[in-house]
Amino acid sequence: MKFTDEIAEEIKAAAGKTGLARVTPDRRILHAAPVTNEGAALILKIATRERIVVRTRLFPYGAEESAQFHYRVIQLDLSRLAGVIEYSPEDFTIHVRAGTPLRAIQEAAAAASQWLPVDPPADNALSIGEVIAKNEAGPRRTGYGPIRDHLLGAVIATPNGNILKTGGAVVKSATGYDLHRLQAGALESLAVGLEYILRLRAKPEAAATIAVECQDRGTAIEKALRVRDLIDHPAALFIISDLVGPTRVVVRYEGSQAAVDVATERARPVLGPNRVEPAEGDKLLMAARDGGLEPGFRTPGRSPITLRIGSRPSRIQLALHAVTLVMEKVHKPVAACIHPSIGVADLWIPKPENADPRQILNEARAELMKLGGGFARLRRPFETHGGEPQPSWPDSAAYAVMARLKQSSDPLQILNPGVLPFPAPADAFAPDVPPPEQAPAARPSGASAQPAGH
Amino acid sequence: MAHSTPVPTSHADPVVQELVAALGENSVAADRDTLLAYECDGLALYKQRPRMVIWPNSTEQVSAAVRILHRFGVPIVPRGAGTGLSGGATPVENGALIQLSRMKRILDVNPTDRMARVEMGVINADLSAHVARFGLAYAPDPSSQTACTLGGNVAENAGGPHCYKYGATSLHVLSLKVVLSNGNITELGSPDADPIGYDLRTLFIGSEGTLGIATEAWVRLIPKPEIVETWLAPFASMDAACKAVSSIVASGIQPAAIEILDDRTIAAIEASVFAAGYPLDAAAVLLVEVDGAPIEVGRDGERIRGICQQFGALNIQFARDEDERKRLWKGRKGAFGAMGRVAPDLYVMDCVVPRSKLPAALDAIREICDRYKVRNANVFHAGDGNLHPNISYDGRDADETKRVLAAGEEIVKMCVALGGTLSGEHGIGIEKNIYMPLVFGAGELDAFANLRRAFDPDGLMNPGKVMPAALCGEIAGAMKR
Ligand SMILES: Cc1cc2nc3c(=O)[nH]c(=O)nc-3n(C[C@H](O)[C@H](O)[C@H](O)COP(=O)(O)OP(=O)(O)OC[C@H]3O[C@@H](n4cnc5c(N)ncnc54)[C@H](O)[C@@H]3O)c2cc1C
Repeated sequence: MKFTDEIAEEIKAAAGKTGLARVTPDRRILHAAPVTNEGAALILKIATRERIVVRTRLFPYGAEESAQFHYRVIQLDLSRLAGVIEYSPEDFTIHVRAGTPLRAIQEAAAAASQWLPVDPPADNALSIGEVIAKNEAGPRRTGYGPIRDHLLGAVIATPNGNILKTGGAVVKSATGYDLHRLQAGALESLAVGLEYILRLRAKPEAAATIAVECQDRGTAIEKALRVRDLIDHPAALFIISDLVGPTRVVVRYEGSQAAVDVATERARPVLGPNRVEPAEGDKLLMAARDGGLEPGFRTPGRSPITLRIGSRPSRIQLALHAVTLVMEKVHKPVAACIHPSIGVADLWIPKPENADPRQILNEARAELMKLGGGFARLRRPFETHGGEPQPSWPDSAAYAVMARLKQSSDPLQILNPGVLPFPAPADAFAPDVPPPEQAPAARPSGASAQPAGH
Repeated sequence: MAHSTPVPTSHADPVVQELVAALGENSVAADRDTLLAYECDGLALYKQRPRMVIWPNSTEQVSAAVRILHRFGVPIVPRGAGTGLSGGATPVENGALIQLSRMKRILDVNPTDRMARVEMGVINADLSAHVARFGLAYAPDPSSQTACTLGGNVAENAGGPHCYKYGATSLHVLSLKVVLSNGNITELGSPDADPIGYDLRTLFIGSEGTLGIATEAWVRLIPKPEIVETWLAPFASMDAACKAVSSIVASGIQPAAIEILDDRTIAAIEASVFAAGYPLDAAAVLLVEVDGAPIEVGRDGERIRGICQQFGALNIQFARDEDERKRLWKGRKGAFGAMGRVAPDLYVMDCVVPRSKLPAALDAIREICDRYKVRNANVFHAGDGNLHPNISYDGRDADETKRVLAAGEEIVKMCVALGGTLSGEHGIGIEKNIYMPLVFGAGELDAFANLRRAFDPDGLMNPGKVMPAALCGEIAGAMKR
């Protein structure tokens, strides 16, 4: 069950003349980078017809990992589907292809003093498709919300090769079902995003960052929540305890110069006169953004184990404490970046030789359940192949709805299987998707790709 | 309307018998007189008598009722206050109406987390009134907020004037307790951040009662702004008012609300109990509100005034105190009510265009309405490009009603042609389900039908709403059973 010349050629044709389709020497991974929406959709259609697993660009390392579970894997790379389709500064909307790097969107918007107020990791290098699929966010999520809140519409390709369009270039809509927002955080397991329409905002005229050292995380959280209770709404409010420097509470205000000055003044009784230089402020935001992620974010093999905790302001301290204890069993000390006003924290340790991240995740979830709720996930999506640990799954009725959604959109479970723990239908395992116990041996990592048919 | 005294029911109906046994005599009605009051919602153009009305008082009662209805294959229509304007709560033939008005408890307010747990029959304005003591507010503020329920708001993803800054309902609901069409109770989303799995909460919000019945929610509360300033700027032309809006938005100022009312709306308001002192000689007025820190509000207010003057606004009114602010808003919030006095019936439309297309859309609306000889007035959320063309008519006049509907159809098509869409906040319901193919192809409609089936495999939830019945065959499916 390897890629035959015929299928490789068919996918190559779908990728288009300027597109790319290369198969690895062992003929088990086919890297395809189509240049049109239709080409991408056709590749999905072929994959469904042939029951070939598709890994999208979100998982650049995932194809190798997937090959441990599946006979053949198409790695679908949308980076050539990039560029701004339409930018309407007067309507504050931008329509882009999914492979467009966030940086390109920010540059286009900057021309009209606008921006997309999200700051996911990797310095705007991620494509907008990746950001949306992971609902990825950085410290500015406190002030501006996650990418889902800025999403107005999408063009998506479903595993059966259909291209669907929902939402549009209007900033408000109550028309039909929000299929586009459903893609945010779905890890491209329902459909593949091809284009997105996003709402932009006016770029703030000024910014100020205040940072103050604290003895411990508890004091820092308490201080941060006092800042949250001030009348001014921060763009970011976090505690960085990354073991590189001291534990610090950082607040960032953005807006008009006057508003920023007033907010800074009002935060003084809590944080003191600790406004930092703009460059230092930007550095702190970057540290919060990229904390717990290896340099470059997408480099395989070197990642620390990073858990993202989802809780609520009143419980974040307890949640942190419980999960820290779990992680300390593997490595001490545990670094953290905490966003207390939205109840989110990242905790990370360097990856020790023999630690199983899933085991740590399981234990963390069990601890959170004991506290009465909260979520934990590994920051980097990985293939669990049904091994996703309980217990922080939605209740069974919601789970059944999710499974039916997946089933109706991707009946053969070819699309990024295993990233969310939906049981695959029995027939989807044969012959291309063997159950884990019958999986082919993992191919050696790092084998280079060759053009299809060679 | 909930009944506190027992209501007569039609005991001949076995479904009613079971419902009465499960929920009690005073929670079910099937008599003609009671049913008459539930024939339509705020869209009086369409009427259908339900088979029965049910008033549960808890999630468990909703679940029990739904299990019975599911077993008998009776279609289910959830209903809040019935203020919906797209016919979403219009009963379906032989169907049950589940009225959530008895579920109006505010169960928990957590000021630290800025959240509240509420039942879905809570009236929108009651929540803000309740949490005001904590310096908090619930942001979505539909103009119907003194009557509509949070459940109806969730189902329609309701907006309101202040949604320009704060966003519509979907940004303010963290989780929902939902009864699915088989009676199962589930939780979508979570008050804790980042729940795992697909975002079913977002999908449910705006689904118009077609995916299940929301019974409770954790909602987000926002701190009340430090100060608020409200301005009313009259313009000699609608075009100038729209240009002023574009210029305000482009300047980077983020007003809390930015609304336009045209001359005919002003005339109706000033002749009604909602009279707010709007100038009768203006072609349009712009109602703008800014909120936040005093220094910023002062500065933004000045800039807005400057922009309005630049586009020819005269005699700009500024609300000097809360009473004046309330007066200025009274006209806007009462606009539909005021227009209701112009003729026996009012068709309140709702569509959206990109903001830059507002002047073109408004010109086209006037032209269309003049051509069909129907009386139109406009009041709209200008910042969002969300139009409410209102047409006053007499429903007893069949010819006029026909012209109203024909004009409505042209308006919808025109908005879509300008890059807009069918609805900004009132939803599709039965008013616009036939227009869905204008904006969606067969593939999208098919995906919507699949999505509905994932929640409601038997097609019992609000069949025929949102999607043209013929396209997904839901009513037929439900009736067969
Ligand atoms: C004068 C006036 C002004 C208005 N102004 C605005 C405005 O500014 N912004 C705006 O968005 N709308 C506005 N509306 C429209 C309407 O008020 C809103 O759509 C409101 O959200 C409906 O709430 P309701 O409780 O009346 O719901 P209903 O009319 O009873 O129902 C509306 C829809 O929600 C469904 N539903 C109700 N409760 C539930 C539930 N618990 N679970 C699942 N589904 C449910 C129904 O089946 C139906 O499809 C206005 C209406 C009027 C009459």
